Amino acid sequence: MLICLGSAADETFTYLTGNLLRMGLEAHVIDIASFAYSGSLQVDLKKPSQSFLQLGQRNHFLGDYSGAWVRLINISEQAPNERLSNRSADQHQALSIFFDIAPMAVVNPPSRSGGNYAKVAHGRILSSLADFEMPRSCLTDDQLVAKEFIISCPKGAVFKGASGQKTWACLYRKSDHAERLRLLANCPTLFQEYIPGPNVRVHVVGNQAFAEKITSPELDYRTAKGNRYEAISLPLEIRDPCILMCKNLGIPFMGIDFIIEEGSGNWIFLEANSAPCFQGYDIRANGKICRALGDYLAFQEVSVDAAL
Amino acid sequence: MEKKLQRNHTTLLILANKGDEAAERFDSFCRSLRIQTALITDLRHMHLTISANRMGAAAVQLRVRPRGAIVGAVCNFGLTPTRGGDWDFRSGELLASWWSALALFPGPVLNRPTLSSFVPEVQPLSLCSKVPNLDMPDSWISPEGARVESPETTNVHLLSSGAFLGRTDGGPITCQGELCRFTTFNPNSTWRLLVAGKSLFPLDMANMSSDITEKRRAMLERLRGELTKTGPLFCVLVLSDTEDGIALLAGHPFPHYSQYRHIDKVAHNAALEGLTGC
Repeated sequence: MLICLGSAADETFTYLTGNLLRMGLEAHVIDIASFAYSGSLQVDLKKPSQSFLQLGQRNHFLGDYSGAWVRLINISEQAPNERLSNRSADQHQALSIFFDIAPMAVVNPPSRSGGNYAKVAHGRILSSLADFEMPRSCLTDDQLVAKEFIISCPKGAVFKGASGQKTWACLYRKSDHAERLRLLANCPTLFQEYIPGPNVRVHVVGNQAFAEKITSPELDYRTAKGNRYEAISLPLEIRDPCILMCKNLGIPFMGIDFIIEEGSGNWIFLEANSAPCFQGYDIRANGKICRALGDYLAFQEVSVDAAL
Repeated sequence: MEKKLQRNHTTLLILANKGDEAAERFDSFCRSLRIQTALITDLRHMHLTISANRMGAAAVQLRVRPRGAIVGAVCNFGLTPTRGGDWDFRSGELLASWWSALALFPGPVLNRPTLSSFVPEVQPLSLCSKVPNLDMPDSWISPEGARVESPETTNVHLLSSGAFLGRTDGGPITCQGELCRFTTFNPNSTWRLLVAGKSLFPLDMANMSSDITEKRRAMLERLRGELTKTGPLFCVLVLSDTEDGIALLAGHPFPHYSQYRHIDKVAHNAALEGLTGC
């Protein structure tokens, strides 16, 4: 039996949940917004399997589950009043703690997913773990430093946010952006060399990896129409480090982004995301990612000691 | 040891929230040794640049505005980014930038952020899973209204802020907040441990067992090894002697000055030694 915990308004959560049920896996599904209104929980930190969630008339003892699909989003700021907001924030914290120590296969343990918040350190540490190249980067709040960096990038420079908050990558254009560099003093911004070439998204699930090449007319393919998508086999020198990286981080499911540099053919690591919105990739891959996740959740054996 | 910081004419950056007495006292201590410091309580008073090449080698430059003093070492006493009009986005970007900067800073950092956390990971759940035989106490999270009648002494803290709500010595106690954390312990065998730099200082000698066994010494060594893997720290742990060894009841990543006032000079000295490696 699986437990699925996330927001009914989150398409990624409902997409995998629906697929797990269609695959014939038994699952109890809990919407975190409903849980904030009328749910409660008790977490035993020493004996996690004795913890339970209560929603309506039903108690969900966590020791009864063999796996969990967890996509916790902090919805406290969308709550209609302060009391509900505090309740939701508290529950978010408690559920994060619980699913970090839960004696079951968890996709993904919440606290191990927070590292991508500091993108530069995350990218630097992960790329060195896997021995991947990454784009030359400069995170700064100094307009002179930014100008120097931009000049040093012969093919152009890209800028984006430094945190895990969603921002679009933009190509720096002097005519549009030079005047705005003075605003850097208010907020550091991440600049990277522009690397022309197709993107590759790799989804790792346990010991498996699924890759898709995306050729786009736009810099950030997420904003573009007319992209070309192609399933590809990963070279072993990319595939194995990706799987090992996830294993070392204790995160069974990750979306990892690369660019294949035009000319050199080098694979350049961009970032790794432990809460990927993967449904589009999965639909194009005929459900392979969902099936791998279902297998992982159904058959992965995790002992209590290993979870702790 | 302080000569290292004096000699290379760099500044010791102390990051802290406004009014943090531990940071202010540490700042005074360093200045008394003629170490150039900058106590920063607002990140807008700093310049930050991180450069990384293709192989991932990173250079981090931190400068104090406006005079441009270059930072050679950092003490992270915990800092909440200042709120502005668009503080949600901006404070998030500032926190992420400083998280990256301190994680990658090539010089010494007291309380260096890790890949998964900006603050030192000293909570029982984290440490007990990493240090063999370091025990977890009986501890649980319960919702508002939950009544507890424990035969043992039980502390109650708010989950969200960690604020202490009360204690029961066997009688009933009710959770007054949304979610509370309950921890049972024996008050007669509970003591606090300050980690300063790479040194450990027991803070409550009266409660410590006089019989410091080899087993306990070995446990503290393992604890020190795990804690200082990422570099020198400044934090307080609450521990309890048990029949089998030691249990970790709580961890405070950024100590209050009142917790170590009686040994402040030794503690500050050890923190500085941790930074300078002497």
